[in-house]
Amino acid sequence: MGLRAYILKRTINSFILLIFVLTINFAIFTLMPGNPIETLAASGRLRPGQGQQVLELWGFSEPIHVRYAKYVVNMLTWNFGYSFHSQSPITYEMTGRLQNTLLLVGTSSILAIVIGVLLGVVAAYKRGGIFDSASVVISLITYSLPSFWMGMLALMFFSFNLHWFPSQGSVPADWATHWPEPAFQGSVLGTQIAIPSLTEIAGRIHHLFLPMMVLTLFAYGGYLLLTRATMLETLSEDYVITARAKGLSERTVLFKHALKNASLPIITNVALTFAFLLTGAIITEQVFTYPGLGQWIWGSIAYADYPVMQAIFYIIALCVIIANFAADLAYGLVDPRVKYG
Amino acid sequence: MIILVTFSVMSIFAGVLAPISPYAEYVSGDFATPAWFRSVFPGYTYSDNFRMLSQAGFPTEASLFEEWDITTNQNQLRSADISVQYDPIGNPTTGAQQTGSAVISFTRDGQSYGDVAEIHFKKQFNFPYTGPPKIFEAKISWFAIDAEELRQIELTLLIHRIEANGSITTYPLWIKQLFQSSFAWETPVETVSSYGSVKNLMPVTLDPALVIFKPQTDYILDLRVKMSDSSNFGHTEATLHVDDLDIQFWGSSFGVLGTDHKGRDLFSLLVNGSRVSLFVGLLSAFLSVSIGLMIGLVAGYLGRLVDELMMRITDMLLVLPNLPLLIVLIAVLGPSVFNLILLIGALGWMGFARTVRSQVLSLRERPFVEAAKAVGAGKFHIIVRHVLPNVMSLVYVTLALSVPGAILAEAALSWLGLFDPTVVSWGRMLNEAQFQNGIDKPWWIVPPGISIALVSLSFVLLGYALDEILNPKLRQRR
Repeated sequence: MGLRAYILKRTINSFILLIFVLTINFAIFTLMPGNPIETLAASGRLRPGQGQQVLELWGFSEPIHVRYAKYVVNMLTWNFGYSFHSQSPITYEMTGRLQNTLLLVGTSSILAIVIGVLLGVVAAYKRGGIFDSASVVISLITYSLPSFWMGMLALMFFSFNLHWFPSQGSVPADWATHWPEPAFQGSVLGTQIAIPSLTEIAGRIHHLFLPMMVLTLFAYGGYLLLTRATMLETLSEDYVITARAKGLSERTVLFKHALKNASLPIITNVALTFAFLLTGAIITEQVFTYPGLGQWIWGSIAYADYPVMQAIFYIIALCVIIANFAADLAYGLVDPRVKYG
Repeated sequence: MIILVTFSVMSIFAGVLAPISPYAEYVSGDFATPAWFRSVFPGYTYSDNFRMLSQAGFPTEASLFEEWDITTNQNQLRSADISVQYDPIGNPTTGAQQTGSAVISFTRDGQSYGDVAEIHFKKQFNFPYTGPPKIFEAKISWFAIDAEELRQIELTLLIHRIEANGSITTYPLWIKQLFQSSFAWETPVETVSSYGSVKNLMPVTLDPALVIFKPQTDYILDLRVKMSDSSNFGHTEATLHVDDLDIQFWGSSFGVLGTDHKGRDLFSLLVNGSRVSLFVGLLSAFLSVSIGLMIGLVAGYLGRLVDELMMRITDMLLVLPNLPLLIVLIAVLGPSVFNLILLIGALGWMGFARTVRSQVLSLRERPFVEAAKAVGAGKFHIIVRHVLPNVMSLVYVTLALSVPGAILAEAALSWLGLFDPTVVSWGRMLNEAQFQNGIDKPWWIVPPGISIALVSLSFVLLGYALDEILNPKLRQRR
């Protein structure tokens, strides 16, 4: 099977997965006991008899297959409706939070990869030494500790005892009224561009640091163990001995010859651990009250805000599906030895 | 292994280990530090729970007249008579045993009215600790008879602090003016707490417990009763029964692990929380392993269409983000321990099903299965009697290895606020620490987290050990 057929197959697979996610997401909220109207009526905000009216208004009286079709179209066209709680469009509220989450997940996964891979290489190189066993044990521990607990400890030490970092938010609280002026704002080649000022960047990093650190700690262990394992394998290969025999420096041998060949499983693993990181982010955001998707889903539970929950679950699942698709593609593209199938 | 045994024993004998109920609130002050802190960090100031009286409510006549210093202003009164007697019948609504009460009677026959009688019930006590109490509560109950014949009866609770130089600083705790008789004993007993009404009597909004109490000083609790005579009646006779007079202190340090925001014993919460964590962890791991085993066996042995269908579904479920799905499902279904077990179990079987399937695929080509087929055994018989025993070692290992995942999932969900409100668990403890101002209190945060980590780690180690023992052939796999 050629590359094109492989990509086609993966695309179809992802599409089936998307339909599956959509169906599950629909089924959870439709077939479950409890009805939003009942919740509304119980809250005393509806007069008796108005319930039926509202049911019709929101389309609950239509047959289920019509509702399902409408739902699928809405989800695919990014139309998530209105939040029960805030009464504003979910798409509008989601943009900023999605950015925050992706920023958190992105930066911490880059950090985790860099730290994990570097330490993994060193650990594999010094196999059996103190550094090796210490880093393996430490990464195993950080990997298995509850992430929210690590976050709480970090909050306790750095935020409440040392006052180094803020305990919540993604920007300082007083920015709600005085947002710092962007350094540059204007249109370049017909598109509106705003470059944030240094104050804004510094403020954001200041707030991002603790959650990012915790998420990095949570994730780097996996990369370290994986890199160590694959490096151990490649370091025993013949071409490494050849490289050493040629008189190349140890650094060149390690990073150019061994790591390059060991990096294939790491690259594919990056996309696969994306779901894992997103899960970690949901919890980490909650610890640091960082306004991202994870924080939002928790808030929506408190208000029984079903449309928001539905949208967030869809978005997270979509991110995971895309990441998996990317992993499959990378796997196929990076390693020509892989047989597509 | 030792850790595991420790925690199992802890969960089984939770009731014996922690005699204080985890649901009992205010066993000590809120946010109390562990008792051993005072020897480790001597700079802090600590106090224990403390009661002025061993038994409140005047149990005997001697306890009234010997323990309490009762003074009246009889010599200043022109025509009124004031007396204090002991009545063996007290407020029946307090305490298991019937205790007595003090009876103050005011009588006047003459015409020179307008007397103000003043009676003090004083008791001196020493506050023996180096730090202020977290909370204090003074109690009193009363029963006024024929109070209409007086202008008013004024009850005041005061606390006098005897300073080092002998001077006295007085703080009022509570004032009550009575204009008419009670129909019975005032119920519930009037409770004057430092976080409640006492605050309003303070000049600034400070914590009265911190303002009033200094370390190791003598105090006097003083009940002042003022009975003001009126001119309405020629003959005036009024009585006031007083009972349950006491002051009680809740310390700022308590027990092995201190207390939480409601003054509940954290050690008791921790010990009782281990029950839920282990219960949920074990049961949902058992559930997920059995589902995975069944699906893997059926898919692997039957093959073809069944296999294809089941493995597709497994793959899809494997891709779904687990925690968001759990959050959404539990938010919709409601958080109960049963739901937690069911959902964590039902969403954790996919990986194991694939492992079992691949094992079964190789097992079913083995000669002993062929032999069984040749003898004429049915599919069900072969699966149960010939294939199942060969994957059982895998089952034990996976069981041990999937418990930590379930425990962590339960902790994460509880921590997010999706805990069963009727039980305590470690995740819930951490949830309350996070959202009830406990984040800067290490004695509250550290123990549950360490417990979760230790239990998870011990199950992982147990799993690896089982793996080595049961699958010697796979040893180089790791």
